This record gives sequence, C-alpha cells and structure tokens, in this order.
Amino acid sequence: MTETAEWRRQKDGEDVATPEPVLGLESVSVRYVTSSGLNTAVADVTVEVRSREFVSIVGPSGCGKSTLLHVAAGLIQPAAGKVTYLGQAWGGLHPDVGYVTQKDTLLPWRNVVDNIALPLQLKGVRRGERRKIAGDMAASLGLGNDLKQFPNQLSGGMRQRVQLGRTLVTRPKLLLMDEPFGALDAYLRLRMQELLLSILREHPVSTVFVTHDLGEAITLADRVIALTGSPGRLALDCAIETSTERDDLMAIRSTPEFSEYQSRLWETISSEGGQK
Amino acid sequence: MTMEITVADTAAPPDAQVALRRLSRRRRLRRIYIWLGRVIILAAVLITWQLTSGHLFPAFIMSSPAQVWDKLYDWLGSGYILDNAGVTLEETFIGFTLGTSIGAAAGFLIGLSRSVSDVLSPFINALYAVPKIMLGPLFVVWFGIDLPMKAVLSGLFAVFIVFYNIWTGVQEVDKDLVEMFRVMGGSRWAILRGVYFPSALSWLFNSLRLAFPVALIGATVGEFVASSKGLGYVATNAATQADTAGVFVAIIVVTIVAVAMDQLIVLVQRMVNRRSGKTEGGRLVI
Repeated sequence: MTETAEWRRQKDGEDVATPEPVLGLESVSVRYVTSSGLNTAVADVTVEVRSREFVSIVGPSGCGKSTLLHVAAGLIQPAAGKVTYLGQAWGGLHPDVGYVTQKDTLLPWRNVVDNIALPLQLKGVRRGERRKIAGDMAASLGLGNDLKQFPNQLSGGMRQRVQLGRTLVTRPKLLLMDEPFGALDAYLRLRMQELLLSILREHPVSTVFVTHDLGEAITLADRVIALTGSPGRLALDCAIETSTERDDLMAIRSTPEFSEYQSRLWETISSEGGQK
Repeated sequence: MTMEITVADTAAPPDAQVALRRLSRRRRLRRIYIWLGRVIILAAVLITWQLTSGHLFPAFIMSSPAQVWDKLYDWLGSGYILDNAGVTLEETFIGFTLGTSIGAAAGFLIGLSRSVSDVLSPFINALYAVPKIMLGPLFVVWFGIDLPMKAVLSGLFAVFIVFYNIWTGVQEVDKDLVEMFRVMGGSRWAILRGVYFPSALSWLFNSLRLAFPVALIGATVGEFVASSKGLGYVATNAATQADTAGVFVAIIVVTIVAVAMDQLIVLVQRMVNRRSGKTEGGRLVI
C-alpha cells in the first residue's frame, strides 16, 4: 500500500479549505433484506458536509443514523442515490475518511503508540517515522506517558482517545464518528467533547458526529441534522449559532439559544418518531 | 489472579501503612495455610497407603510408597527408567510437532473460509468422534510396530485439539477489528497478518497446553499396542510380572514429564505475551 498523493500533500502542512462539499449524500436510500421482506432503513436523505464543518446527526434509535454513517464511510452501498467526496462520485472505502465507533476496536496485542501508528503502517510509513508521528499524536491527546500501555490497562476514556488519535493520525479529510462517547459517564463525556473540539481547532477536519444526545449535538456542531424513522428521513437541517465561544461547553448549555434549539429538535424528533 | 500492592513512598498516613502491612501479612498467612493444606493431604494419602498396604490389601496388588520409592531408585540407578522415558518422549515430540503443526495450519486455512468450513464440518466432527485408540491395530499394519506407529498415533491424538481450537477461533475473530482494517485501507494480507495471526497465536498456545498430555497418551497407547521400549512398555511389562510398584513408577514418571512440559509451554507463552502484549485468550474446545 503506497501513501496517497493527498496524504503526502497534507503531511507537508498544506491544508486548504476546499470550496466544494467534502461529503455529499444525494437522495440516499438504503434497504435491507430481512426475513419479513425488504426493509427501508434510510429513505431519500440528502446531506452536504462542507469543508471544516462539524455536522451532528441526531434521531431516535432505529432511525438509520448509523446506517447513514456506514454509507458515508463507504461500508454500505446505497440502494439509490449518490455518495461524493470533494465533488467526485465514489463507490467504496475512501482513503481520506476516518471512522470512529462507540465500541473500541484497538488491537489488544499492541500498545498505545503502535495502535495509533497502525494506519500509517498500512500506508507503508517506516517504523521509526510512524512511531514518531504516533507519539506526537498521543502526546497531543494527553497520552504522552502511556505510550507503552496496552489497551486492557487503559480506562474507557483513554481507549477512546487512542481511537481518536489512530483516526486522526493520517490527517483524514472527513471524520465520521458513531456515538463515540456513548459508553462514557457524563463527566468523562464532557471532557472528551472538549478534547475533541480542541483537537479539531488544531487539525481542522470536516466531521460527521452521530449521537442520540441532543445536548451533545447542539454544543459541538455547526449544524444539526435530525432524522426521524423508520425509515429514516431528513426532518430538520438547522445551523447552530451560539453567542458564546465553543470552548466552554457548560456555558453554552446555559444560554437561551441552547434551550431553544433543544426544544425545537425535541419536538421534531418526538412528533414524527412516534408513528413507528 | 494475583494482586500486588506496592507502597510507593512513605507519604501514606501511618494508619494506612499499618492497614497495608496487616493486609499483606494476612495474604502471606493465607498462602502458608494453602500450602500446609496441600502437604497434609499428600502426607495423609501416602501414610494411609503405606499403613494399609499388606494389611487391608495385599502388598503385591497395592504396592506401597516405600516399595515404589525403592523401585524408582533402582531403575534410576540402572538407567532403565530414563532410557524408556527417552523413547516415549521422542515418540511424543515427533507426534506432537507433526500433529500440532498440521492441526494449526489446517484449522487456520479451513477456518478462513466459511463455505469450506460448512462443507467439511460433518466430516471433521465424524473424525473427531472416532475413538482414536481403535486405530492402533490398523496403524500396526500400516506403520509397523516401531517408532513411526507411535508417533502417528500420538500426532493423531494431538491434531484434533489444535485443529478445533484454531478452526473455531478463526471463525470467531472479532469482525469489528477486520472492518476497522478495511476502513483504514488494509489489504487482505494486512488483515490476515494484523488480526488473524495474532488472534490465532493465543488460541495456539492454549491448545498446545492441552495437546501435549494428549500426545503423551497417544504415544503410551501405541506402546500398549505393541512395543519393547517406552514408559507404556515399562508399565505393561511390570504388570505382567505382578510388579505393581513398577507400574506406579511408570505412572509417576509420565506425570512428571507431562507437568514439566506444561510448565515449559506456559513459560514460552508468557515470554511471547510479554513481547507482543497481552493477548486475549480464545475459547477452548477440549
């Protein structure tokens, strides 16, 4: 596996915001074959994620948010519709896409630094260099003293940080996160949200963040997309504008805009989600 | 599981230190009691055996710890027992090496393909169900009565244990890890090397521990079928002369060999684990 030209360009520090959307989902529908017949999980959803934009997808369970993210990752081919990256149609896994799940998929037999270095290894980066890059990434995530630890020696929050580091180490253009902090307690979740935002300030990446936590979606995202299901349909696509800075997440939660957004999202989801 | 408590410095308040010391003393005492219990049970068995032998049961049937000890001392001195142990070990090692490598390779390759596994599984299960001892007479016809027959029998005993563990293990490899490799653009070879091999390594070691005593059984069973050497021969030969002490010596030596080998495998496993991090143990099929 050779490193992509895209990746080499980014490594040299050149990171330009692109005018065209990083991710485009055009009238995407996904159908599953089940024992009871054909089941539509996502119906005719169109989403655009612009460069450096943070988009949250919320909705009740079973509304197809994870499925939509699978489509964006190229793991599932949609039954109808089109997936584009930087304006180009693409059918499959894309090298510039990073994907983080709730369940950690760290290799239990590798320590922190070698887990983070894994994608670099797959791209053919030499051992010394990839360990250095991975070590720097670990340090920026506050894992500088735990490089030699193995996953079973780490707490849930630390494992999730290693996952994040492993995903960001290749400098993806698009970061897909599927309820990444869902398994963490409330305090740790807040800390991880803050860490994520500060990392994204350092390395701007277009992000799609799936969650069922409306507060999490509003405080983190530039734009929140609400799906109702099932089948999952786009119910609301609303830009979030806050008067406070993003670096104090607790402060955002106490602003009047926050409660306004929250009740609006809640109404959207509960009114249409109830039909199921 | 062992718990370790290290007192980092003397910064802990004095009452905490007292509590820690009391805790570690209680642990130490507990360990002493456990060993004491084991020694008492062993001594009780040996003493009862020694005292009842010749009274409750005839000595030529039961033998006695003293007689067994004398016999062991005799045979160690003459080299008889070590020579025969060497023969059995050689058969076992050849069988163990052949059986486990064939079992591991076949289990891994077949396990990689769901379809091939599905096609082959009834045959594999049928072969597994055959009492392998029944193949002894057949192997005499095929391989003669010397070392090859015993090595093959030994390997046959061992092959299934390793095969089954690796085969079921490969089919249950964490699919999320495989998907993660795919998302990162990992090739099939990278997935094989990065997920399947390391996973298989832990099942391999666990199954090797089970396979060695079984390979030893295979070799001694081969010696029961036909032989003039080996620990199995020592046991049968002693039995035909009503020398029960001799049979016990053979049993003891076989047990020592099995335990020593088990410890050796554990040691190697620990070394490999330390080098490559802790591996998650696979489920074991016996």
